[in-house]
Amino acid sequence: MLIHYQVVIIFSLTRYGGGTSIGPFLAWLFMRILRSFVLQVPALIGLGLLAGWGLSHRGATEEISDGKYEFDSRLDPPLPAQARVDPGQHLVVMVGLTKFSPPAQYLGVLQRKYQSDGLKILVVFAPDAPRSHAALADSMGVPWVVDKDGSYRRVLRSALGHGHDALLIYDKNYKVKFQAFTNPDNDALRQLVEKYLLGRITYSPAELLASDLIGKRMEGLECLRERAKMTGVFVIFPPGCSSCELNGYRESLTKARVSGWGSSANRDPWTLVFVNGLDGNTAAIAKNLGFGGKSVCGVREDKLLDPYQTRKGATMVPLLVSVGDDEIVKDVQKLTTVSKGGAQ
Amino acid sequence: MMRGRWRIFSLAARFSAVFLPILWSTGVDAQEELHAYRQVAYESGHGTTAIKRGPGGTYYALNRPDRCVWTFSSAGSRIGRLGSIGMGPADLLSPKDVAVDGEGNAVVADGSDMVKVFSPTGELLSSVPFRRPEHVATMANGNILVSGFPKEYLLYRFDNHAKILAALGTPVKVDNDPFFNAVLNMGNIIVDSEDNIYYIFTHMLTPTVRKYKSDGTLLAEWHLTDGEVLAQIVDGAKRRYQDNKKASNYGGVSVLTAAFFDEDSKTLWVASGAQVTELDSSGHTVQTARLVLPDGRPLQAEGLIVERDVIRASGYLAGIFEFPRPK
Repeated sequence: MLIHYQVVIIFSLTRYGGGTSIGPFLAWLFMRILRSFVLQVPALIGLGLLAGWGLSHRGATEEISDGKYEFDSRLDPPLPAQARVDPGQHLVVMVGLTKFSPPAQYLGVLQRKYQSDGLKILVVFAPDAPRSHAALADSMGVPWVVDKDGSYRRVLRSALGHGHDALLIYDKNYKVKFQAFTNPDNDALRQLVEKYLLGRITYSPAELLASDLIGKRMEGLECLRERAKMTGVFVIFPPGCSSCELNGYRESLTKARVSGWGSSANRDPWTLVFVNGLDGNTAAIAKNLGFGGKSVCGVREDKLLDPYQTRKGATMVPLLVSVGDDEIVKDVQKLTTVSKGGAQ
Repeated sequence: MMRGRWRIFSLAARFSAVFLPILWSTGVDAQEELHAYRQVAYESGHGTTAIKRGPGGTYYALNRPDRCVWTFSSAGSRIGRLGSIGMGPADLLSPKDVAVDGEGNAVVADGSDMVKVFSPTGELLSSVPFRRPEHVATMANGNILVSGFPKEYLLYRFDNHAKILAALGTPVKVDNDPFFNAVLNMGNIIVDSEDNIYYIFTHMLTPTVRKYKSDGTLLAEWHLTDGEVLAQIVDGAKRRYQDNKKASNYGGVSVLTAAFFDEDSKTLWVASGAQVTELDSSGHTVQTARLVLPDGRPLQAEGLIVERDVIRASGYLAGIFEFPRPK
């Protein structure tokens, strides 16, 4: 700008001979300056605005910073199409995944279990996520979307490109119930879905197992001798140190047996079932406790425990399963609860 | 004749050389084993970390995967639950420790950078913002003590209305890196009936306990040295510390994992993994013992309550078990 005015002044002095008459020159100079202001300043302002808008727009799409929602705050419209809550849906679990994170199998389990109760799960992949991740989501039956324009990242308030995942849970009124900038473990996700979809959380492993077993048959038992007896009371020793657990629960077993629990199906000796853990040592300990070959069985974990059951650690407490004469499971309780003389 | 005697003498010498050191090594440092006789409070099994005694013989168990505090009667039957997973005002995101005041209110240090106070029925009474709280305790007047990731002070005292009253205790300078130094100065808090404050350095590589008056005056500093298990844990912690220094990884190993002040005997009980150590009022070791589960595994204690005849100890993997109190 300064250089421009210097050029104009030098040109003007040259044109008007330097000292003939200063009046016309000043008038001409004033007009030039005025014209340059009128024409150039708006142009420069316009350019500035354009540049500013460009930068801000670029920031909105590529430089989303992580930000926390307040509990129960509402999501700002407009929302991208897949993020909207459809009629009959009550809770949305939106999981944002970077290119390094494949979708967890457990999302499919939750989807199948609670879809009819109004749960919607949506996986949002970063634009550079491998196609295999989308194929995995397809195989689990979980809806997914690739966040090409950044609209889902704005909702998640997380730049997936920064290398961390995101979780957002909101209800049918678009009120935020939970948010995290990480991929929560299965049990936390189960608790959150139960809390905000059903209004209660199941903590007891017996209740979790009961919800899957009652009304069904016990299947997949492999016993030491003879065909497995499919009626009576089954003591399930969940995965873990089954054989060493057995010694620790000797007294509880006796008390529970005496209590008469599962009495309608209580004519036969009880059967011990070890999930993933029937070995020679376990069988020997069981024999010492008076359980013969046909009363000691093993079962593969996936044959008995629904994958929905996330609390495998908690199920180290043995569970009692009462099976009626029709070979259908009637009741499930913790061994320790029954041995203390009552149900929870 | 002489040859026969010499042979006997020679055999005896060989026997002594081989077996006496073995007998000596097994006999000298043999730690008493306390065998759990039953599991209690099954509802807070796997995932239980801290356990604290409440009024009227009740006790409170913090369960990390459940993201709540379970309350139990003295007989071990479940009374209720305080908090649940979530990011709401009365929810818990990642509970770290619990303390119980005289009225049965539970003070919970939560990973949401808050210390939350719940009534015995589960209502949220107040919240105290605190960066990275790790341990909490309550004083006789209801004041709350909170420790976290100490840089300038070891712990802070708040009143019931979340107003900060005092900062107590000076961290030990053991590492030039401020983050490593803060990790090594993290600590559990125990308060006795006279409001003396015991700060148990959980990560310090020299197992240390400090005793403060309620106003923050340092009364004593004790160092724990007894017990095989403690020695093993310290060795492991030192190795991990060196590895972490090389990798600039600010994690740490908890050396002193739980503590309890027994008002009957006026002794401080400190757990380091499966070992419990009883310290008298001068900080001298009264006894050490190992906690053993019914199946023979050690219980890695993260919570401890010592009563007249029984020790209740909790471990994340095992749950809560009762042990006979050693005489």
